[in-house]
Amino acid sequence: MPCEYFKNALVEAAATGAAPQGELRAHLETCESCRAAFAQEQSLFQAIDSGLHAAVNADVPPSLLPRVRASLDDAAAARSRWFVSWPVLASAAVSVAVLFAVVVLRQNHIARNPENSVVSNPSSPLASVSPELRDSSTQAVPPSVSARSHFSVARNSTSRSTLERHTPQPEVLVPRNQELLLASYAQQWGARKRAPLLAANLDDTTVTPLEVDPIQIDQLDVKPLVEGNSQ
Amino acid sequence: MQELVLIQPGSAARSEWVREAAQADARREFEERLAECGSLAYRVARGVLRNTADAEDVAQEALLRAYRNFERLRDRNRFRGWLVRISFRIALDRLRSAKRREQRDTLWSQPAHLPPPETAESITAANQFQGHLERALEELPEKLRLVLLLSALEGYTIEEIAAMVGVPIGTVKSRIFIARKKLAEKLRCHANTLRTR
Repeated sequence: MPCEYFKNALVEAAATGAAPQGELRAHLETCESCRAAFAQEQSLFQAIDSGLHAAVNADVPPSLLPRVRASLDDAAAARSRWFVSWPVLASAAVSVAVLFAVVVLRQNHIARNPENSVVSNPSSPLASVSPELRDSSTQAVPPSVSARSHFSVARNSTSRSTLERHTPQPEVLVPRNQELLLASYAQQWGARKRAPLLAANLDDTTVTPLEVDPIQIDQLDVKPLVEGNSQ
Repeated sequence: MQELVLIQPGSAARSEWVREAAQADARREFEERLAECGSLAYRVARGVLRNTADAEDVAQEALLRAYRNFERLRDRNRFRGWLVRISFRIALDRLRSAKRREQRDTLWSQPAHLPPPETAESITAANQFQGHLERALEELPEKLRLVLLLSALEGYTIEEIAAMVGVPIGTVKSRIFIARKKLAEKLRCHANTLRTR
């Protein structure tokens, strides 16, 4: 048994791992039981440290990083799938809603004018046109002209959308690390480039009406027609 | 050779492209930290769980969680401490679930660098002591346990541990001291098993 007076000091010295100093050191040189107790405490702390060290510093299994990378790929793919799928779902929902609205409106229209539903032919291109338009087009306009006008409208709308879709956008070759930088720069430029110009124009220019010379028109010489030339 | 990509900065799909580029950028930055911090997450988890398979699962989960929230981490220099706390928290949750307790691998309890026990009795005594140490560790308060585990990790100084945990250096030292003393108090009654080793 260690001496009661040095018991706590022994534990503290063993816990810190430092060599005992001063009074404790002098006591240990003379007291064999305290020396044995101190050695026991030291071995206890060494065993604790060894157990902790072995538990914590195990070799990392080589399968860990590939597993983590695979799970990161899955997470990224799931995220991009979600980002891709939600616009598709939204546009599909909008399309269904528009289709539903068209069907409902058409049903209402047929219910209000039942005689038109008998006349209308689903295969005819004019079936979806309102009766007034259909009557006027069939009466006043020849079928060929009517069909042509439909065709030209469709062609115009198609060409307009095609033009919008194929509006040339500048394409830039950049190093792979600088895509984001360039995109943010383009975004900032697109947001800011007009504001300073407008402000400068307002400050520098004074709004003055355009001065246009009066139009000079010669005196008209009107002569009566000679009889016989009027034919 | 430097890889070039053809982009349209003014295209309508720019927002999507920017998002993808930001994701790729974050992924690259995360990958750079993965090699170093992956082992850290694993070791913290193993220090809590003392089971190879469970620690690997926890490390994977912690890294995945860190990746998902990586963009929210403003100060990227604190990534290590952040990951340590995530790993520690997940490992504690895992430890508390009773389902996994029976599947623990007990191989951890043979320290590699201790002199190998020579007799069957000493093997038994060593395993018994490690079992007691395991239970004593679980009974430690969380803040003491985390600091003690980190201090047992190779290659990390007290200053680095303080930065990881987010407390002053003096607090780290005192927590290590208190934790070791508490462990010793709990294990002192089993100290006779050590004499047989």
